[in-house]
Amino acid sequence: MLFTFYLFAVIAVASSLGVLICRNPIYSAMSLVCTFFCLGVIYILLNEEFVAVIQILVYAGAILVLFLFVIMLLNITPDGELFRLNIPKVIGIGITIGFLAQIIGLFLSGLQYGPKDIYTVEKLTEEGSIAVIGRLLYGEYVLPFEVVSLLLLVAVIGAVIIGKRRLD
Amino acid sequence: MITFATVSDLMPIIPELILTFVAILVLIVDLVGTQTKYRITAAVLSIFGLCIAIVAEIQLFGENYTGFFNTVVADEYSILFEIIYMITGIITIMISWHYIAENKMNFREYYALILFAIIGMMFMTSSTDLLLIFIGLEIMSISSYILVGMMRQSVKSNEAALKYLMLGAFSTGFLLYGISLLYGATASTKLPEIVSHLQEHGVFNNPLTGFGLALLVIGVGFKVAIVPFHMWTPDVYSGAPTPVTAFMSAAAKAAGFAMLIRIFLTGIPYAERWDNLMWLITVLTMTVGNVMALKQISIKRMLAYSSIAHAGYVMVAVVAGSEAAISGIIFYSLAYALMGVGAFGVLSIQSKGRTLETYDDFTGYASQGPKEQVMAFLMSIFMLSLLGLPLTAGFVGKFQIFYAALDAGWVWLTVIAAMNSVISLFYYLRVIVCMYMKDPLDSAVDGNEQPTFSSVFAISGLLGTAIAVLYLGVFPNRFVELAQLSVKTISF
Repeated sequence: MLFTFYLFAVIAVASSLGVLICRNPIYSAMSLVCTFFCLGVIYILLNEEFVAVIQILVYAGAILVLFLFVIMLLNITPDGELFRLNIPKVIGIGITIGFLAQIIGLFLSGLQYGPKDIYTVEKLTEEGSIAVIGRLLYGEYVLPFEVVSLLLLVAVIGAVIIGKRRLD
Repeated sequence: MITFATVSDLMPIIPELILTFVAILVLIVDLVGTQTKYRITAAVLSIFGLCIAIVAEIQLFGENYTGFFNTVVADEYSILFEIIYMITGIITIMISWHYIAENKMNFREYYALILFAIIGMMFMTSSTDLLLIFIGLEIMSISSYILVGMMRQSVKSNEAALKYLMLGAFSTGFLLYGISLLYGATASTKLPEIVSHLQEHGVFNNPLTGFGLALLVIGVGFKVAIVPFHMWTPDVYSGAPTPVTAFMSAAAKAAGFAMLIRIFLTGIPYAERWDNLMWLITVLTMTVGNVMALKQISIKRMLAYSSIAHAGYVMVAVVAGSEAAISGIIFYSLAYALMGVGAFGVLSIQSKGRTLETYDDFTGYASQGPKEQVMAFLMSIFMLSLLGLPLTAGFVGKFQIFYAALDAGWVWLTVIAAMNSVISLFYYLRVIVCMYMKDPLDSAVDGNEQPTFSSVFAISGLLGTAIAVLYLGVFPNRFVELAQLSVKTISF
């Protein structure tokens, strides 16, 4: 179990680095698919089959296809220029490494786990993860769930305005 | 066993429901007619809806409804802030009609988006669940990305929208990471539960909590534009359509501070270690904002930097953190909302077919005609209030914040803030000097124009704002008392 986790965690990190490093946008998108699949496996290890399936369906299935469409429609060619260092990039890399070192330091220095939530593995396997999620969405978290629909409406309006042909 | 929400849970969100209904109605009205005469219906309908929602808020005042398993509360604190957003919304819509007609961006979705942004802010303020706070923040942000980029034929507006979207998405990442770390450490997204857990176990005993809170500060800091996270502000504010800039600088900032107070000042136990960091951020925010504002040629950009400086003054109160300081923030948010919208609003009104942007455009402005005279007078009031001259709302706001900081023992911080106010004297007065004490440039004098109905509509909105600024400056007591009363309701 632990071995599987480490294996897929390493692959996830490596492929997300690939998203950044690949010069061809198609390769970047494909590395992203790989990352999503690894995340799906990690969700399964956490006994969250439903979230795992949704992760792969929505991200790898829908959002990535959109990415690929955009790449194809805009006809983005591989960026020919080599990676060149300049001062802002050096500063950025420095800050990133500092940030990363801090996160790693955090996890090494006496990390405490929070209190256990009531949704333990036993409860999940007994009731099924879909039932638990459904109950939470329509019970305790019904208002955030409904308000998300407003967020989607705003996004749709935005897409229509930006894509409208006539200006007036 | 599962419990469902009931109808009585809707009580605290009645104003939000009213606004949602009106926003969707505005979208439907859009389909009715495309002739010019229908165009004002959307604006009038939105203002009408906002007024009804304000009345609903006043009805809820003092009732302290909670609903949806304590996800939303309608306490005095959130009601006051929500009324500030809605007043800003009304003024914004009044100045918008003129601007969007002149600049060929007369989409009526514009009004709906402003209403949606206000709804997002209201959820941000009235929620005690980080999940809903986050969704509210996103509704506000996405509406503002679209509003910023609405002037589609303008390259600057497009650039501003793209920049805002990219950096905004980035800061959202920080915020979400912070929320998830906090959830990991406390097993809850509800603020009262997080707070009681932290009170029991201490903030910095678990590195996860401290790190999560730091990320949360970054995310919120981006939205309110405090100094290391302010880079987007000048470009976005000067590229966006001017009424949208007015709206963002006033309402979106107030919403950010409302969220900051809710999370950091009333909930999370006070930790000594934050002081130095927050102190540094505050001093940087005030100084960078004021010094950069000095060297701007464009007044719109100058006001953008000055809004950073004003965020710095509010941060002084955040550092002080006492009850008096929080009520100072509420008052200052209202005062800044009025004078900020007013100042940007004057810029949004065209004069003789030209957009006013630089100091040169304002040279000799007061002697160019009756309409210009009125506008120059209004601009002077807003500038003096931003400066913090007595008898204006800006003075009362600054006075309360500085007094609260002194009271809490932050002498040097107050001294630096006062010095910054003196720096701001130079660039605010420069506008007034330009308008009244210089001769107009030759190109500006030609032609006399009849003021259009839309510009009269906008100017009357600004006139109301100026009267409110003066009223709050002369008779602040009533509102100050309300603010002090509301602070008592929010500690958990």
